[in-house]
Amino acid sequence: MKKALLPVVITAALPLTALADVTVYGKANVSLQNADEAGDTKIELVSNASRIGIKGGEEIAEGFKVIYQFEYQTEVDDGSGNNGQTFAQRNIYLGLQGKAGTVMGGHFDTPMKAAQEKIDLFNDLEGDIATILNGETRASNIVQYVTPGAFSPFTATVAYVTKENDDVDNGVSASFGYNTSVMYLGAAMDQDVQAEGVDIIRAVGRFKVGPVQLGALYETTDVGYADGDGFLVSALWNLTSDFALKAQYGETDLKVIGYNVLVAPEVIGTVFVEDNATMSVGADYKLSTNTTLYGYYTAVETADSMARDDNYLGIGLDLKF
Amino acid sequence: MKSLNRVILIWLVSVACYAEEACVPAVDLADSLNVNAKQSCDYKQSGLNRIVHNLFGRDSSSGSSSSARVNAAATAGLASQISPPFSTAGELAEGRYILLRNIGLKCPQGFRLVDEQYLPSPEHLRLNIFYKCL
Repeated sequence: MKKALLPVVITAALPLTALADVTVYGKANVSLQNADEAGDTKIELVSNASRIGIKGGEEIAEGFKVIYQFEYQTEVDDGSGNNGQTFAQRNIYLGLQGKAGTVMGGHFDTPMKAAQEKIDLFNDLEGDIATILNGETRASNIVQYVTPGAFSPFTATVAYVTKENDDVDNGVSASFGYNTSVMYLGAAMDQDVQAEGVDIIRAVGRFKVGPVQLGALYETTDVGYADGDGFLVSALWNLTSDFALKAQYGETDLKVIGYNVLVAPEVIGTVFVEDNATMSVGADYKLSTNTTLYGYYTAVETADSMARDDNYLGIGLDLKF
Repeated sequence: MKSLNRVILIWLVSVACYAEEACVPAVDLADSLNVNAKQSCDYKQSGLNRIVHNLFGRDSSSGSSSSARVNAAATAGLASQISPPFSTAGELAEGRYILLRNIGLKCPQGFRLVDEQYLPSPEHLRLNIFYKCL
């Protein structure tokens, strides 16, 4: 069966009772950008994590429900991304939720990745924090427990990532956070999640003062034979309800780019690049409640042997439905 | 110092001009993977969700005319009241009032009309009201 039909088949197969609490949602995000990469300049149309999904729940007993989410990414620009498939899996899970918390399994963002919360103001664009920071993993075969909503504003999440291979260590990812509308503080750790032997610790903070939001992230990565630190700061200023200015800057001295690679004679390990930096500035203008026109400039630099000095200037449209 | 004063002034103006939206888009809620988040909107009432829920016969306040298939699905399983036959405008108004009054007696907390169907015959009409108690 073509993967293109997957979302339709899944929706049709759901019993009518399952639609008691189901939400269909999605996002179309496309930008036209001037990309200056490796000395070459080109103009390109880019689909930035456009997606469609369904999520919902079904009460199966008093205070106990089944929850699910199926989300797929599609390339609005040319439809040929994701290895030629029309749709690629994003966050997908099936879980049980009750007063004691939520247990869920599937293919979704680790607690480490989710801990970034809203501090990445250029999420899914060239200035995404994944450009320079580690731990941005959407794991397969992940089983996760989340503390109940009754503990709010505190939330703890712990996940076990099965590598389904006796020769490879399974991974653990965990986070703890305090989250209100004006402040978020979070801490997270990954062990053998991004790759075997890669351990990450992260601390995140987000603060709102009226129309201004400030964000900060610090992380340290250990790949066994080397370690490094990274940070990111961001600022968003809502000048009006419709218009916002934003900026973001980050550096890291260890960005993992390869796993299970021959790093020395008879030595298999993790490959990384050093001295990475990214800077982005941008503006958002709301054309309507669900539609945003945005512009951005992003610069990405790597100062070691795999030197990178790329710049992107773009304008885009984001529609949420 | 002047620059700082200007920044503070702009910040004060933006405080006055900025109002945070109460409704978080469903796509952002899904992206957060926050399984404990309370939905801040009734997504069934707009966009793609309204179409999906109308097609599968879920609650809809759209009131728009639609196919017989949608009407049948929308009223399946709902309570209804049928008026006595009427053949004049006055009898229609009176018959509709009687129906609504009877429904009010069955639903002391109030009720919501889901659909109205008119059943014609050669000499008169009957009104069938589908409703749901609140």
